[in-house]
Amino acid sequence: MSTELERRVDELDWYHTFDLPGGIVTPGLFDHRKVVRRLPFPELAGKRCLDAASADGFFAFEMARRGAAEVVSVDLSDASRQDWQRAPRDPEAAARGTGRATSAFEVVRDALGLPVERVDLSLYDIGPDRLGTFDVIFMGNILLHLSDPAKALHALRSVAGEHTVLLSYEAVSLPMSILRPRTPTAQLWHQDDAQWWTPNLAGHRRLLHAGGWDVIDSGGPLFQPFGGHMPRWPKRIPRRPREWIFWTCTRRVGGATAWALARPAPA
Amino acid sequence: MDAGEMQRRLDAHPFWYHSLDVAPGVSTKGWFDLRPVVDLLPWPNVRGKRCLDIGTFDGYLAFELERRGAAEVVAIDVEDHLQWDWPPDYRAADLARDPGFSGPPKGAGFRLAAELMGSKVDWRPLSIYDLDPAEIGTFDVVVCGSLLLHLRDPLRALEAVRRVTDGVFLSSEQIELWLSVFGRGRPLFTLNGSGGECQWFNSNAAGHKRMLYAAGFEVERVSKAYTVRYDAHPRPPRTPRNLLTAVGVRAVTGAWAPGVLHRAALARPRV
Repeated sequence: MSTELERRVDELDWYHTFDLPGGIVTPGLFDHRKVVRRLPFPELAGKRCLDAASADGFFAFEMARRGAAEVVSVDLSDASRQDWQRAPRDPEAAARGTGRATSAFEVVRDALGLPVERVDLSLYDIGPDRLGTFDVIFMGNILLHLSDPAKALHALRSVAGEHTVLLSYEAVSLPMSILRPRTPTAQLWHQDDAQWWTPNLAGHRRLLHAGGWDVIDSGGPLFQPFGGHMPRWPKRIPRRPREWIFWTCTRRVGGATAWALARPAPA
Repeated sequence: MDAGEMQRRLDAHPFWYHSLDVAPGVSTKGWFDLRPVVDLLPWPNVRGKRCLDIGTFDGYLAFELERRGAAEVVAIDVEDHLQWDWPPDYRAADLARDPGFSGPPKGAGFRLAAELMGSKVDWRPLSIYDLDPAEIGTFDVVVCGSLLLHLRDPLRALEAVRRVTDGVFLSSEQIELWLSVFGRGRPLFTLNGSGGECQWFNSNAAGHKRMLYAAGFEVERVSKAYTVRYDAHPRPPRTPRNLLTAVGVRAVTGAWAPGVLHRAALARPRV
């Protein structure tokens, strides 16, 4: 049984790091296993929960593990429909990665046996007709990948009831958070073409506000470590200062992130 | 109609956004005056071209295109300010109360000025997001001034602009002074998304260029920084911070002028 699982794990590229039965650890790009303990999840027992832009589903399974009554994991399977700054003109290149996260999610669901429902949907298209409403919404490391983050937050608001809690956990710019501690700021393009608006700490809170949510508590920076998929050392000696910072600091402690708890603003 | 009568009709209009020279000695006193800086923009040759002005308001840039010899000028705007991209915390407020923007539809000033100037600019009610080559056609020259910061999704808007741009796109936008000076080369933005100024992403100079690039334009040349001057616009209070910014604006533009720091870029579709 575990050898079959090992084979399925080896076949895939992983984004999240999971502890699976038999001591198997998936080699993800990120490893949230420690940082998740520092996130202020509300009491989940008996709650209906949404993990928006779930990727391999780490936080969806985490909510199921914490006793949520029902967890829905939403992600967009078709890679060519994702927001990229330079959409490749070659349709084959644009579709690369399609279905990867869904396969990874299914491997984990089979292995853990947790009841999480997977829905293939863009964050922009989330609505109550398809999904109903939720008591708790988690959204992790996604706003920076969207060209119109406020639109996605509006869509999330449409599946929120009056007492819904949103926990938003996002990558932030550490230099901008230090240099402009109170001014909401964002950088357009940062590191790669999948990243649109990387906010600072104040910018993360402001984005939620601009998307129709009232921030009730927030924290950070927390550091989000990389997982086994990311090499520990560079292949060649880095030349640019930015690369030195990445390999000596960021690779060791992880990328800066922030969390915020929010409720829907009265319309 | 004599000059005095024309001036009386202009003065009877309750709100002017642009300061316009309508006829010799006849002008409007608008919130913003582009007349002293208009030649600093990197104008392409518009003579004989089909041109578009996006978010025209009282039409300053559309009339300028016509003055420069464009064969055809189309100007578009969203006339009803309730349809603008208001931040959610302000959408709930009573927008009709807004002192600066309530009153007649936004196209009324344009129509009055165009009538008095004998302008042939074709004004259409259309949002930048809805620009569609199948309906409006394509243009040799497209201009858009001080609009992107008021949009919730400037990138989708710019992509729509690209689809109707056959030739060049002249984009004149407000930029952030200190982010441009200290964040040189980094595409940085101050996020707003709150309150009655209806502003979302305030870019620095590199951010303006990067937005154009991300929407599929290649920037050919950029202007120096310049100030779009306040005319009837209320002046900001003389706080130490504002005075420091005024000194900074003087340093980068070479002019003492109360107003809003801008930069313009001339871009061409690259995809």
